[in-house]
Amino acid sequence: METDTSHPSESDFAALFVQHETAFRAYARSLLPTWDAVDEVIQTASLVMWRKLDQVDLPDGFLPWGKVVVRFEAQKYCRTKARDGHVFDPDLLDLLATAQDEEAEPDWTREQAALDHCLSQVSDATRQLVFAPYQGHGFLTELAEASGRTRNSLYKQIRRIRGKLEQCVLEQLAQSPQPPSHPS
Amino acid sequence: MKALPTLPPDDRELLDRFLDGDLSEKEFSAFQDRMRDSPLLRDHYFAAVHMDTLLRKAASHVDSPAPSLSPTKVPRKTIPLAVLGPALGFTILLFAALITWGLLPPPIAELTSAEKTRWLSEEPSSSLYRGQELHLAAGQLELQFRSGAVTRLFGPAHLTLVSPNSAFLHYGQAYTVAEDPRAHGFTIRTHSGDFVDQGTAFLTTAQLDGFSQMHVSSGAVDAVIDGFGTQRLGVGSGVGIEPGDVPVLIHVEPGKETSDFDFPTLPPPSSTDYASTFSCEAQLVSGSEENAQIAPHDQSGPPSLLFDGRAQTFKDEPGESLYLQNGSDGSILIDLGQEIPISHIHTYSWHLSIVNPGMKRRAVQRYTLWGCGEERETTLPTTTHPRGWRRIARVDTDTFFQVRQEEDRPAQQVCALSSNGPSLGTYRFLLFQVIPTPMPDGIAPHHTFFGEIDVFRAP
Repeated sequence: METDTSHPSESDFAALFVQHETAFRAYARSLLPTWDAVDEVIQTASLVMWRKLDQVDLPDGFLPWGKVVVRFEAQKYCRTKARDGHVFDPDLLDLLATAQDEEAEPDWTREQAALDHCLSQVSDATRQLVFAPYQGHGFLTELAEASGRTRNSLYKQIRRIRGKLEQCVLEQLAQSPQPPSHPS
Repeated sequence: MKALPTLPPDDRELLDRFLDGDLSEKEFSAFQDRMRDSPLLRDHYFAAVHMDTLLRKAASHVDSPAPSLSPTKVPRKTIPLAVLGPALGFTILLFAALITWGLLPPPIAELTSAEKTRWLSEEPSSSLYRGQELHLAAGQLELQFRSGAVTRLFGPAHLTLVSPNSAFLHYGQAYTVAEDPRAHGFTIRTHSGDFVDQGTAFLTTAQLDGFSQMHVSSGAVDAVIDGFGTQRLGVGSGVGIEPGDVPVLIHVEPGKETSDFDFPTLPPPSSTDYASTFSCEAQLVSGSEENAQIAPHDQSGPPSLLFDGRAQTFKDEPGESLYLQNGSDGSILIDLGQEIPISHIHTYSWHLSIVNPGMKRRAVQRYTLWGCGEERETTLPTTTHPRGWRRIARVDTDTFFQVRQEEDRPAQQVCALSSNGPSLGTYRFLLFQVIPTPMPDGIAPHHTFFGEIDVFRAP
């Protein structure tokens, strides 16, 4: 079969970006205060990556390079939002970014599969509650009003469920050890 | 993800409330101080955002409808008016007024549904305007043009909205249904040609290198291609354009599955083409070993049958077909005896298994055709290293016919290659790098039953 080593196309980039999108989002989430901020930074970072794709060795260099782009865009975001409060100071942001750069990249696909399994073990109502914070602004408040409870009490319940899910994911991962890496 | 020692209660409280977006300014400052000082808090913070990321992704998959290609059921996004606040109402009125006054251009299309979309450009609002660019990284969406035409765009794709009745597809796939009479003439433009609706549904595919193709699902479509004029294509037909110094038109049609090889517009196998008339030779060569001749499948006919002026007489006739061994990687090499200008090339296939009813796996034509002059290049070409060969066209009839299941694939097929100039080029050697049909696990890929290859000399 022939091998095509020509310059990556937009569709190649799209495929690469989607492959590593979870890693980029997790990294951005660790540096930014809200998911709205993450969405904004990832949107900008993806365009920067697209325009500067010729600066990186593909495919292996894409993830570390992309994270540098995300970090830079997160720093820019925090600088512009500094006056609004609730964004990390530059020194703390560097500390958080550097701490993660030293860690091995998680196997997001495997962890997602473990979480999906754990979520399949809980009731529909529990799943709905734990997903509520991601269903848009105001959804949790509506849920609280509909159930006659306060937002705070729902948050506390969500934290407990998250704790149990986290424990379940850890057990799942322990039961199915990571396959050894393929010899090069 | 790893188990961590328990966090002191005060730090736990700060972390939880930060994640809930519930900290005052003073508390946020205290949280930052603790994050600087406590590696354990940082570890818990990383674990929390890690879990948050996984949960958000899991939540994004909830209730996502399965992708559908149904052209008739276009879900319209409806906004319950009762929930629209006065401010939004005012905004709508203001926009309507500005449009009426001519201060804002009216939208030319609406985004009516989106499924699992990821954007490389800014995510568009539901109203779309002339010149607007849609860079879709993944997922699919539906657009309703003001003319009534509905286009479903499959990511990755790049589409520019040109007018209420046209769009430019830079790359990706767009399926268009133009049932509304106002949408007659709806056009999908590409770098290599325009596809104009004549009351129909059609799928357009465009690649970044300029290759584009279109398949008609119902009705008819006019393909308007520079240098080729206008060609009307009916149901089941497909056309592709291979860009290059000499653009090549790839026209594919299904046959009526008789030994006459009857096609809607293309001719049956010819006994008067150059390859049938003169002493041309064909052989099979290895796809991996330079200069190595390989044998066809044990039940295959000889390579010379490609030039006998007729194709198969029956739907499952191995002895009247040329095909490679299952799972092998090879090419059909044709020596025309001398360099000649070629006006067009037709390839024919027919297969409907009598052993496995309904199976037509050897009917698809999938190949890259290369040509070279008097001096045959012994090194095999690739896209990035043509090594003296010139790529003439890439053919995959399954993509033309939108084959998703076995029954979608026509059992009898013709593929015609032609150019917009006097010839496709001047060649002595033609190399068909054939690609087999993937098979279920454990079964080697099967190769196409080629019944005839016609090569026509340009005047």
